[in-house]
Amino acid sequence: MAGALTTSKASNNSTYAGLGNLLMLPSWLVIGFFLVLPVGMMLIYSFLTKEFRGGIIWEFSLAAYDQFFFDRGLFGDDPARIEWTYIKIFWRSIWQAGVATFFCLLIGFPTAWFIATRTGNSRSIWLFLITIPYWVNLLIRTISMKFLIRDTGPLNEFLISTGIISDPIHIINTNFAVQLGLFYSYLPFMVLPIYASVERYNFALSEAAADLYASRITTLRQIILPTVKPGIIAGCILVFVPSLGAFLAPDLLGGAKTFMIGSLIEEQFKGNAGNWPFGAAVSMILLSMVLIVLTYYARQQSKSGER
Amino acid sequence: MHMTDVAVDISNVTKMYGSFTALKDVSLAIQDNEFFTLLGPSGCGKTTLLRTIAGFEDITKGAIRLYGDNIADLPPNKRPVNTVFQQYALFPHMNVTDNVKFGLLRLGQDDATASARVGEVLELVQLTQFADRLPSQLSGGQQQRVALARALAPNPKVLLLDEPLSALDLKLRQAVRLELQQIQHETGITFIFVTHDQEEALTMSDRIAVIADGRLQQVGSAREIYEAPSNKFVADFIGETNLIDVTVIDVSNGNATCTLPSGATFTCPAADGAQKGAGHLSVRPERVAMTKPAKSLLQGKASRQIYLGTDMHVEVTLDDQEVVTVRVQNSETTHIPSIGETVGLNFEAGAARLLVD
Amino acid sequence: MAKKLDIRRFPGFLPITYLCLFLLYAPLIIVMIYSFNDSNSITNWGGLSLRWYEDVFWGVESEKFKTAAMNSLLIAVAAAITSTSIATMAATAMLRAGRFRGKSIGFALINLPLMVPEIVTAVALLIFFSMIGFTTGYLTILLAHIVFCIPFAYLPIAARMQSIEEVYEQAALDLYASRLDAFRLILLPLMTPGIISGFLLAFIISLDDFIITNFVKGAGIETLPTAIFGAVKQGIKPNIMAISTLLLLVSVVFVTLSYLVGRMGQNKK
Repeated sequence: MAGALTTSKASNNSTYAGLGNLLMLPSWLVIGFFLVLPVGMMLIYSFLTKEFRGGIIWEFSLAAYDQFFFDRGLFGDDPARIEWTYIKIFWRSIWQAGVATFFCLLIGFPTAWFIATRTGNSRSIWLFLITIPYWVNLLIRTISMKFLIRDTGPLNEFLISTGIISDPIHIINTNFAVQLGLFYSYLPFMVLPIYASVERYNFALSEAAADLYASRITTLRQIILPTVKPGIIAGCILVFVPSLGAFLAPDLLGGAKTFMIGSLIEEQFKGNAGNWPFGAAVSMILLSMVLIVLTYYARQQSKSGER
Repeated sequence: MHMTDVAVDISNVTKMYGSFTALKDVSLAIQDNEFFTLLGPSGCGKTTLLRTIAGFEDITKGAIRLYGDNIADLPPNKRPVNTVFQQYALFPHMNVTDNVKFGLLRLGQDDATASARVGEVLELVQLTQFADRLPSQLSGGQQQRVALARALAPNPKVLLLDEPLSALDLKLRQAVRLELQQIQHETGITFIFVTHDQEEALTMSDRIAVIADGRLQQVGSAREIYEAPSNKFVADFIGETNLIDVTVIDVSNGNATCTLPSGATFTCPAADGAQKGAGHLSVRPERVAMTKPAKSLLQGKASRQIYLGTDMHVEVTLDDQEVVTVRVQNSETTHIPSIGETVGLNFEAGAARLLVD
Repeated sequence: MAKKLDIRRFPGFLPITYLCLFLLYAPLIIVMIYSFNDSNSITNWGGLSLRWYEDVFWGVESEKFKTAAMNSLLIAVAAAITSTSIATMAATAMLRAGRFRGKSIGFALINLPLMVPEIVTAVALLIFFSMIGFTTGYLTILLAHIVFCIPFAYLPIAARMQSIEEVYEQAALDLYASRLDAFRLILLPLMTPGIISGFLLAFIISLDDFIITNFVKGAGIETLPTAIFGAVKQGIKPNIMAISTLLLLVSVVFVTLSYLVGRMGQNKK
């Protein structure tokens, strides 16, 4: 109540009151013109007819979506059956992203907790160390991973020279390699939001719980988890969403068997497939999935805000 | 009273935040060259009132006149008033000189004129040797004086001070009070001072306005407000008081006759608007005397002693369970009743006042 | 005696933290080490040498990489300047302009580039540019970079602005400053660390981008990441590791600068 009061106080008499829309104008122009409008056009594109040898015809068509979901045979006149090829690619992407998210959480939560319970300077140094790799070029990080896990790469060489294994482990071009790549790409994304929520957690609550005879596990489950849950959800989304549409990890670390949504889309525009309406449709489906996840997240956030 | 003697004329000002009323129909006339204090508990609307004068809050209804001109619709940078902010708000990236010069340059003064004025004001607040320091290199007291100098430099018609002493420690606060009063006398500028500290208000002000719940409760000199509070809130907020339940049997010529809980009849001055029926008698603890029960207005048993250093509070529980606090000097010669001892309580007619709610 | 129960500490969290750092840094460090390898093969170790760095600067492919690096640099500087200016204005609107119509949708708009998957942005922009007949080239890359740099520049700028109390600007207004003066003389100088942080982050983000650039770049125009990607498609060669190390160092230097500037601002307060 008091909080609501002070915000309304500030807002009625802010220094640049009345200039809000003017100051937002450049953002609107740039993001509106070069993101919102293009996404709109992409939506239109996904309903157009493709021409042979690339290109499009301005004619309404559901062909792109039809191609995604249904198989009508080589000449398009067989009775429609469900087309599993693309659904499988989506399912694989969700699975890969999910596994990567799970392992990020497994490593990221204890790390975030550990850092958040440090004090002063040592905390910011730990945090800084976690953030640096995020700012290093994703392409370079993926190449590093590829270099490391090659059959003749340093990892295998090391394991063979120490005698742990006698033949190289085949990692590259497997699902595991892609999962590892995604995990490696987005691990900092898991740590940071969890760190933020643990840092905000009031440890006097844990003390109060311990004082009231709660065991550590009970305290963790009943007191700590509910408070840091928003951070965990945010972390999972920040890892899962970019993993879902990732291109570099599956392209460089995976092979034909690990094809994911990102590669499917890329192939429609850059590769041999050259079907723009279909690429637009796949992009729309990916975007819709992401928006569903984000809406769910926003709901959760506003719910925990009400509490 | 002549019109031009009024520095700030606040008439029927109402301020709403959505459905919340921060100020309700406040009317006040602050005189030229006056040290005027807005006093009230936190959240009562006193700072809001100050900010409406400065121009940081627009008002929902009413008018604010500065020496006759309506300024209610002017932005803060068009009002010839300056503010000393609670946390001083000294520009952290500018040294003392540049802070003080800021307003002068914005008014279009040339650098030489402005610099001369900065020298003058820094001398007034005794900070000449700190002119090149950054605010972060100054003590709290020095920062407070820079804030004062910065607000005085443009020679405002009215100076607004928003709890400027609250960030200082007790000793310093007492010294700065005297200094502020002196500066007000020297400059002749009207000061409007906001505080929740009644002692500050009582010792510094020419007049005080007591505000509670966005409403003006009473305006008057320190003595008037302390000795003749107009209602229960003012009596309770300024100093300590006993509020004794009485039945009023007659009101005439500003005096009320009432029946005390003991059954005794008592006549004393009454606040405006006093009526027959249930009422409250306000008596300050230091004006109550303990005597033998036989010759007293009220009787009860001593129920608690509270040690205050120079003084002691003795709480006496009357027969109807009301508690009256008596303040006595803490000395060898004072008789302090032990717990459970029956005592009588007396006070003069002039020490008591019948209040309205 | 019973050990004092420390409620903050969970056993095993420290080793996991070390593991986390190890996982994050090991691949990068190994690539750095191998960039000094004096061998034509990436597998065998042939002793320390700077030959691959020489190759990057003066070798057969050096012209290609130099041009790409110059393109990356120019685009990153231009994108960072533009997006930082836009983000500063947006932050002022969000934090200093009170309530206005379109505020919450405006906030969503600024964060939109973070919400839309990169590959989708890339596809949408490619379709958009080809639809309006915009020739792909430097300008398309720059425009795309400005869009997705805005939220990254916005974050530190807004965080900094939030930590500056509005009372300073009110004091300026009280002292007869116009709103433009309050912005120019008070808010902007106090904002400097946040703006520098925002600029540096935007710069790195632009420098690092591969996916969107790969879609909207015109034929024959390469930035450093697209050039590296093209080369890696032929197989990892030692010179790639030297370039990667250099680019990695640039990122680390910039992030460290951004971090230090941010801290400097905090200490001053």
